Amino acid sequence: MDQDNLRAIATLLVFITFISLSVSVFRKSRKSYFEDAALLPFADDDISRKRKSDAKDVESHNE
Amino acid sequence: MDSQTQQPLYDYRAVKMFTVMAVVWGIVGMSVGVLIAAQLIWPVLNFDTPWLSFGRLRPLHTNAVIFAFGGCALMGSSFYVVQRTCQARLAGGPLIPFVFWGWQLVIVLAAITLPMGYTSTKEYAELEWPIDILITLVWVAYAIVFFGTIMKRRMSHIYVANWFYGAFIITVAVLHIVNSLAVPVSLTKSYSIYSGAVDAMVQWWYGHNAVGFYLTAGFLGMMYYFVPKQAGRPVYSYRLSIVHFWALVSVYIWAGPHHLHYTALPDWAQSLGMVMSLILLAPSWGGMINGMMTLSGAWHKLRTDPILRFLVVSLSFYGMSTFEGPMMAIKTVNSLSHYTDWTIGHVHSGALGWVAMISIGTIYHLIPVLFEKEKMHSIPAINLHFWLSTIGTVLYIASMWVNGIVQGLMWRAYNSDGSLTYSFAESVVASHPGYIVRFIGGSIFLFGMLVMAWNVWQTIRNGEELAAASSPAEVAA
Repeated sequence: MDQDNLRAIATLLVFITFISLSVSVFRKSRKSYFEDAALLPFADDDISRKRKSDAKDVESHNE
Repeated sequence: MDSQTQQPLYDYRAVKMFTVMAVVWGIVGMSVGVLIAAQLIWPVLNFDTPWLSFGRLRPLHTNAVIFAFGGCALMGSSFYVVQRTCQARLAGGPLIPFVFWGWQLVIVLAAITLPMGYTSTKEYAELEWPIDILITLVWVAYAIVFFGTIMKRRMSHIYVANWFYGAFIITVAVLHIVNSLAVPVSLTKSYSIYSGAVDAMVQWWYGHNAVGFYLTAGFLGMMYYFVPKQAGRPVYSYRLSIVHFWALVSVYIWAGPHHLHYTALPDWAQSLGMVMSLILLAPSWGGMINGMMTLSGAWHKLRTDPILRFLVVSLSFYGMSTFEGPMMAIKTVNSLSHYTDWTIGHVHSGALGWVAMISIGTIYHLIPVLFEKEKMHSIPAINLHFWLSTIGTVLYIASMWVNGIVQGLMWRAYNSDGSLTYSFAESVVASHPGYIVRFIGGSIFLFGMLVMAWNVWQTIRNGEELAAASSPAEVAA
């Protein structure tokens, strides 16, 4: 019985963790933070080999 | 990000060497695969030589493609991605060449010891204890370089590709050390500290998480950088990628017992492995959809860019094999599929379709950047390679599906008096045509790798030098 309670609590904890992770990630206030993060692969384009035209290309798809 | 900031001088030396060696080891590992596929059709090809026998070459093949080809692709691409997304130069100094040369030494030692018959007999962990210790040292150095670079990053956020690479590095370290614990009795022989069902469970906890963290999380790191980069647009949903990451890493670790259905492993562990494998479909497909939808609204790019096609088709094979996997983990399905060629087909749907094709796309993206060329020497050759890879993979998978189901049905058929309808040899005879198709498919895939090697060589030797950074050059990569 003790072991079963432990299992139930563990399952419940994992479930709550997953829900709270999802909620915290999909909160509206965090939208712009994650949109900036998604652009990180392109952040050093201008300073290496890529051109302005390409950088513009990235932004236009990100409306 | 201010585009006028000073460019950090990236350290591409190890990336270059790893990327080129990925091509070399890919050809070596897949050639051994084609050879052992041929041995199953024409057994005479083992030439009655012990070190050319199937039992010794098969682990050589798996080690070469997973750890040599896949390892070089992962280590090289992770050193590239971590620098570019952290805008920091690779940390670790002398540890960087140590990671490269140490890893090459591991590969060479594997290529020597496995055909000689030195093996711990643990699947995908066959190497004997002195090599295991070397792997551990190289891996720790790898972790220091990777995480050291992350610590030097110029922004507060760590890009999601690095999370996946990081999970891959940490988990593989844990898996390798726990699974390889052994008592050495001589330089070339050791005995695992585990025994019986515990040994089997530790082995497949390692084995399945090698799939989950090495062949999945590592290559997903590649996916989250190179798919957006090649498509020229950010990933479909960055927020989904975070849920994807945590769901994937927390579920994968439990799925191992599905390799041990109907064995001495306790029933509850088998059922746990089955249920966790089914749940795994959700994060796997979440990641696959996230990668694919990155192209939403830009599908036309697939028509003109064979590199992008490699990356996206690899995702469709990933989706296919991560659907097939949970299905095969269901105990009733597993009772038909286990021990048959279906398993081999499933593995290659992941290995050729997903792991190899995303690595190939990555290599085609990297070579011109690393060697400062305009683009790959021949874009039509990349297109040819794409079709060779796709056709080769499809032939391979389809033939193994047919073989697997035929074998499973023949082995379970019995007569009214309870005796078996077919002998084992009869199922081998029935598998013969499938083995021929598999050999053809594998050869086609290998031929594509040779086309890539020629293209990479031509690009490095004769490729058009990159014009001055100011000119708006058209770059395919």
